[in-house]
Amino acid sequence: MSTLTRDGATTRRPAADTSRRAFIHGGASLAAASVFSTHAGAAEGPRARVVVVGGGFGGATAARHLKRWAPALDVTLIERDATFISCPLSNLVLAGNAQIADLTFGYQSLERLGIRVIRGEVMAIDASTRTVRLASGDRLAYDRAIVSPGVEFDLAGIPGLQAPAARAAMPVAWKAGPETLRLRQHLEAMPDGGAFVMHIPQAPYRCPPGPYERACQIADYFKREKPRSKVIVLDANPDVVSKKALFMAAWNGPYKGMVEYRPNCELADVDGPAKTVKLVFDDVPGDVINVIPPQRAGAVADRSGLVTANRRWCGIDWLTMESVAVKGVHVLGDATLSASIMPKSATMANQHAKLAAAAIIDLLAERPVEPDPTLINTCYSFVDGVRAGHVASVHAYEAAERTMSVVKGSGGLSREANATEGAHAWGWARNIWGEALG
Amino acid sequence: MTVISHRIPRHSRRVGLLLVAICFVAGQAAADDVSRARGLAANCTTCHGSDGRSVGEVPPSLAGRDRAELLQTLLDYRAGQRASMIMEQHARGYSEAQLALIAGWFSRLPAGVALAAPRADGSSTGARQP
Ligand SMILES: Cc1cc2nc3c(=O)[nH]c(=O)nc-3n(C[C@H](O)[C@H](O)[C@H](O)COP(=O)(O)OP(=O)(O)OC[C@H]3O[C@@H](n4cnc5c(N)ncnc54)[C@H](O)[C@@H]3O)c2cc1C
Repeated sequence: MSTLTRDGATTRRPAADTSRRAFIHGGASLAAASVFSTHAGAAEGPRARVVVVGGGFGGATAARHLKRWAPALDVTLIERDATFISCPLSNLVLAGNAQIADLTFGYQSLERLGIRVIRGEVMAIDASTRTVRLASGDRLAYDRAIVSPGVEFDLAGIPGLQAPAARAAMPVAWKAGPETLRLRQHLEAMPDGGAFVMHIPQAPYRCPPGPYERACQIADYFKREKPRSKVIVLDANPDVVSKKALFMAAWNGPYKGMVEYRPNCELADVDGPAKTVKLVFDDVPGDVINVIPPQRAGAVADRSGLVTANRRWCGIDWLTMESVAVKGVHVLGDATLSASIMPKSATMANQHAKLAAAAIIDLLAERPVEPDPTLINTCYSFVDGVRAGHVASVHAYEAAERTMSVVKGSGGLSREANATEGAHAWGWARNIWGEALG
Repeated sequence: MTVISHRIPRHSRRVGLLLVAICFVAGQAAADDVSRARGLAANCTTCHGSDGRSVGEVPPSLAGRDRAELLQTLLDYRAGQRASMIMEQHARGYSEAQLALIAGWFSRLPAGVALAAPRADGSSTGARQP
């Protein structure tokens, strides 16, 4: 990963021509930010600058496909973290069914492709000057920008989770990383006979089946190591949001008597010292507490004027993933206002990324974009260390409604969780990681 | 000195122009098909690997497979005549014409080494089964 020096050069120059790059410091002339989209040869694609904010499933996949499909593009990826840690399969880490190292990757291949990877925090995108502003004060000029910042937690309604000490005592672990390991430690330290109490926010949130997969994983761990313990699932939703039949089969089958599921649980707060989830009508004490907060688009989206729906999500044009609010800025992944029955998933962020990459190349080359795009979703959930089940759907563009809707007759659930699909799930993971970083 | 176009009868000039126009339209249609095929095939690569080359054994690689065999497999999934965990559910989301573009796209890609994400230290994770 490159680090910026004061003269705006990078300490490790990627293969691509960096002389054209307009790297502007605060206060410097913005003249260099003017658009250039002269045409290179058809194979090389258009010459222009694309800056991608966020190197997760959406952003890294978009940067990589832009560069592979249009090598003449000048692509920069800005990411705050040094490594990529996959949320998918991170619930298995909680149960000891996978190691975090299996899910942790580097950005080196993207640099080898000629993408400039900058480690930094983006403050905002300034569409009037077509620049991306970093916390360091540096600015990067772009012809088109992509934002895939994932989610941030909305803690306004959960005062008991706001202090850093409270967060350490009750790790959320809804972004894979240090909190995943801390939650694992708390589970390991819990005596047999204890209770893991989790709260699920109202949909939409990142990964609809994820919380129920987590309940299964922790039940799997308890069954093996702490068989007198319980998993209590407090759901703000009126019912299991995704893959209900698969999860109910596990809770009424191998985990019978271990998992207690309660719908319609409106959260009031959480009390760390008392280890209690406070519901509007009830207090639920436990030994390990895991409140998954409500979510909205990552903060940089709001600071860039991209949030258009419920003060949470970014409305986009489904032909291009371009923001409906800010021209020239495309939004991917969890941060988008999801179309009907479109989950906030890594698969979907990956699909958004390729749709956006193709559209951006067409737009920069002044060609019409694909008028009839299709996206698919595939999400696997593990019910134990080996068996998984899926939910799938195919989404097609509806010109009349200007949205994506599920193609009638497509998609569905696994009949039951099974080991074959457990292997498919690991295969999916290795390939989607390769799509982002390979 | 003769100007070449004067030697070409008017009607054949028109035919020539028409041919140029047809070639242009056909070329444009082919280009549209290529970009449409790439877009559709990009739906598949999330699970099957970039350029249809899978890092592991499952899901299988698609690059370099026989076009007719790939298309028949997809059509069979779509018609519910081939059992699968997930492929019937996906294939039913596409028209026959779309499936033909997908099969054509992958059949033209060379089979080869899959691209795996590197470990944090940059070392290869290729084909590792955790
Ligand atoms: C426990 C769990 C299990 C899951 N399991 C699955 C699964 O099995 N299958 C599936 O399909 N999905 C799964 N998901 C969902 C999946 O992780 C997300 O949908 C996916 O990560 C969304 O991609 P994204 O690009 O929108 O966001 P992310 O992948 O979160 O990427 C956002 C990136 O942007 C960076 N960033 C944000 N703001 C800035 C800034 N201002 N400056 C610089 N960098 C910034 C972040 O550091 C991050 O790297 C799971 C999620 C969880 C929590």
